[in-house]
Amino acid sequence: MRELPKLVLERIENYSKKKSFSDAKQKKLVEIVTRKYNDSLVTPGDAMGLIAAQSIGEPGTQLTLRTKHYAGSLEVSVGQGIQRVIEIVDGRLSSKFPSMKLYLKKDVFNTDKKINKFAKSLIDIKVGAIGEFQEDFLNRTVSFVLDHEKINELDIDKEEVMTLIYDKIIDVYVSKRFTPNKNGINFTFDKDTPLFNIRKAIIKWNKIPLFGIKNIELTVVSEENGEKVIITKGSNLSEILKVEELDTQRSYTNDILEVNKVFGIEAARESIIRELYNTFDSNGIDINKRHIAILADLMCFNGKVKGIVRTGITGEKSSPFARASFEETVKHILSAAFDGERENFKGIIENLIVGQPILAGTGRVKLTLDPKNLKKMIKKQESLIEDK
Amino acid sequence: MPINKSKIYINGSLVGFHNNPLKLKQELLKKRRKGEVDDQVNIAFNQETNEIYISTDSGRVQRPLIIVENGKSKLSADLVKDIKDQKIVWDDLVKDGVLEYLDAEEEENALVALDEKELTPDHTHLEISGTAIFSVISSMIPFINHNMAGKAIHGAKVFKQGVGIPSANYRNRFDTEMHVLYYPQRTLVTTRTEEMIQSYRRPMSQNAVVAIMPFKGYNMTDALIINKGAIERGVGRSSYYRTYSAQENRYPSGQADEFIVPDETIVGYRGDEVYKNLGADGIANVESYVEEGGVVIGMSSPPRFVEEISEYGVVSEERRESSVTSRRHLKGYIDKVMLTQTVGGVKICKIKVRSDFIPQTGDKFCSNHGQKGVIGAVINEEDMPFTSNGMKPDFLLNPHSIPSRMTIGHLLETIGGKVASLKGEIIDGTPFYIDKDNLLETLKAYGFREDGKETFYDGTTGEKMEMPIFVGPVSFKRLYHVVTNKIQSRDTGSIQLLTRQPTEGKEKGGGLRFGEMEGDALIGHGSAMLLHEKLIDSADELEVHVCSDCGMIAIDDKIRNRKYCPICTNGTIEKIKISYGFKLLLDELKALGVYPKLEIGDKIN
Repeated sequence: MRELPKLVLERIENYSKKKSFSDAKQKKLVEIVTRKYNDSLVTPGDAMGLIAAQSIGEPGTQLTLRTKHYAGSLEVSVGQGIQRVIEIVDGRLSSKFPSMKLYLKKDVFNTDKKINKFAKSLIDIKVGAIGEFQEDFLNRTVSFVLDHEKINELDIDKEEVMTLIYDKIIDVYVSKRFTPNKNGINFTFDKDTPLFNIRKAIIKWNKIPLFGIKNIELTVVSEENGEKVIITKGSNLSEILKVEELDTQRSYTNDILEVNKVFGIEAARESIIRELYNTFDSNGIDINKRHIAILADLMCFNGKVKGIVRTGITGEKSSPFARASFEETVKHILSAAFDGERENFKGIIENLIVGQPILAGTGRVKLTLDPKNLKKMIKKQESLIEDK
Repeated sequence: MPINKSKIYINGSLVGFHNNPLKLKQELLKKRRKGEVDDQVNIAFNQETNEIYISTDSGRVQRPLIIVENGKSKLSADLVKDIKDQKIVWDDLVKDGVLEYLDAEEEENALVALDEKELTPDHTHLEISGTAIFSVISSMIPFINHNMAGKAIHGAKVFKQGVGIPSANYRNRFDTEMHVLYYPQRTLVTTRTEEMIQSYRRPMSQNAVVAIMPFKGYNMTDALIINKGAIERGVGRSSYYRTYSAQENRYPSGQADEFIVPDETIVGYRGDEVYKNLGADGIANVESYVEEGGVVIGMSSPPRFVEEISEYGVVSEERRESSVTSRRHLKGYIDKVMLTQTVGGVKICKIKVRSDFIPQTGDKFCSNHGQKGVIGAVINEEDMPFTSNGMKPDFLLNPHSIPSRMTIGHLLETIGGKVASLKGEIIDGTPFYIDKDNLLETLKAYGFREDGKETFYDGTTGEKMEMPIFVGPVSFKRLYHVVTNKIQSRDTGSIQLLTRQPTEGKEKGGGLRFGEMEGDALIGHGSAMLLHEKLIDSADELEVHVCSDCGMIAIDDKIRNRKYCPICTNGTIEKIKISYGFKLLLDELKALGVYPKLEIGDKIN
């Protein structure tokens, strides 16, 4: 019998105190719980990986059918349902719906207006987003014209923007830069600049960042447990951590690979568990966290986040048959043949292919009978019976 | 470009523009009602796009409506009287501009009243009948307006699955499959549509007395209990006809198939017993009984390959057996035989076998309202619950099938059926026309409870049941989903040539696939040995000999009783157990040029 974990023992103690149990009663409770605990432990030889896969996979079939749509409400879309699950499990390099949840430090902002303004200041604004470059190829001049609507929407000071743009755009080809006026800035290129280079320069200038944090496309202020929370579309964990107004202890990103980059593999593992669990949970599917934990362990155990795909964990199996039975059969068999690989028949699929009993469950146990010893044993038994 | 003018389309192609589309439409309508434009032409005006569509092409579904002008129906009382006196007919009404046909597009411009009472000056048309919103099939279901929409669809769906009399000449037809109900009955509760299309002349249902009560758990989850006495009296009894056919094909070698009674000289002879139904011409005798797998048409075919001429110049022709046999799980009487020939003079034989399909557990029944179920138990008549009058119901339907499906029509039909039986006349249940309160009152007048319930007594103990039970005759259909045609089982049997695994499918006597997910379930339970038995022992187990040195599959020469390795002489030959599928994999690897070397751990002694 295994002993109970500390946490459970503590809880029993608290419960007994609350109900004012006698010592004998508490002891009996511990006994019962210990027995239950031992009953629910996994038996040696159980195919717990497969059970985890089934436990996640079966409810996953319900995910495909149900997709929630919120009509009209302003919010950041976080990939939902089966697409998000696949994205996490595949360990993709870039997330389709990166999003952050940012908590504010207490007492930094006192009005909602200020919070909204702060939230807007986080948005990554590039030159191209607030105006347009108008080209005059004949005179080789380019003028930048502000989009006033956009400026008002983003709540930015016009003159501040102009000077910022003026400072940031420095180009080799540009011979003259005119100081900005109300409507825009004019740039004049050298007379012999190829037209192609002017276009190239404009494309480059459009991408020059002005305000905010890189990769953050949109911010929405919402409320969580009576506290204002900023939800972002796009994620940049390392930069967000530098922002003073934010409670960096609690701020969170759903981009697992970014978590891995910034905090390391253990945090990434936690992140996988949390993201998977939340995705299922928000669809009303209850999966035991231990199943997800096994999956996350498998994805992270050698220090990098690896997906359950042929380029990830599955492709790294040692057994050539196991690899061949997953995807790209011929490729794996041929490469195994070139390398002269040996199949050790330790896994399940390998043994199924060959037609041997699998090495899991009851197939894990082997009883061997030594015929020589058997004769001795029989004699011993017979003599014992005679003695009696 | 005329912007404010509306575009005129005829059959989808732009023909011109018009300043006043509404006036144009009105003029055209007037002309159509006068008969100057054909009544199948439709004019529709789309205000949003400012376009007029005139359709004269085929493929549009139209429906007739009564024209309303100034809030008054054009079908006056005088006209109705004329119709009753048979002075005028339908076509006259269309010609006179009383009725007109609308298609889907023109319907968008119309405001249709369902009832003459609700007519206002805004209305343009009036429905001929409330029933007209249903299809022909669904308007044959009495009280369908009381049903949930989904169940109305279910009810209409089973009309095509019902067993009845499929055609007037069914005796002379040779359909591959045909069901004929023995005692079809006219339904007690009908609709006017049914009378109009006269479907009662060849009905497909029977009026069964149905009580809504559970019975010892045998009718849970949509099962039905059927009274054995009712079966013996002919409820749901039907016959199933299946046609087998064969022809005497000719082959390029000059030989041909032949209808004969096969004898011992024919390769594949199956023994006397199988051919007992055959007459001298090799075709089964009419009204003889064929067991399952029994030969219906005896036939022999020439050998597949033309034999070499033997040394003495005599060709000993070994003909093959190729008789047509009755299907698995199907036995019956030879009903009809047809012998004819094609234009090319090839003899064709078609033979119709009739089997009795008596209702048994597993057969499917359905009411008009989509209340379908499968027989869960056949109960002896003496054990059935009975009313105080001594009446025993034919079917017992589980009460759980009523509330969630909301088929009130079924309950009303039950009451209607009860009134019909008491009154001795057929009750009209046309949707939207019949007031249910009248039925209840009539029921009360005949001395029954007006809610349709009756006191019941337990059939086995004779005790009075605590609650009164809802009972009455409802029209029930037998559906063509019959267990006899669906049952399948296998222990050992045919295997596939390539993989040596059991075949799949009912006709081939195959097994049910123990697939990947099923295997995963067993792994999850840790039952390794059961998995091994399912995947290997009961599938493609194979014992092969392997060379212990080079690891290749050895040759087992049974004639010379010698086992040897095909490529080396060093190793000993050992016997191992693998799946045939793995042996195939090894072969394929060898064909790829990969050398799969087996190292032997466990071996069979």
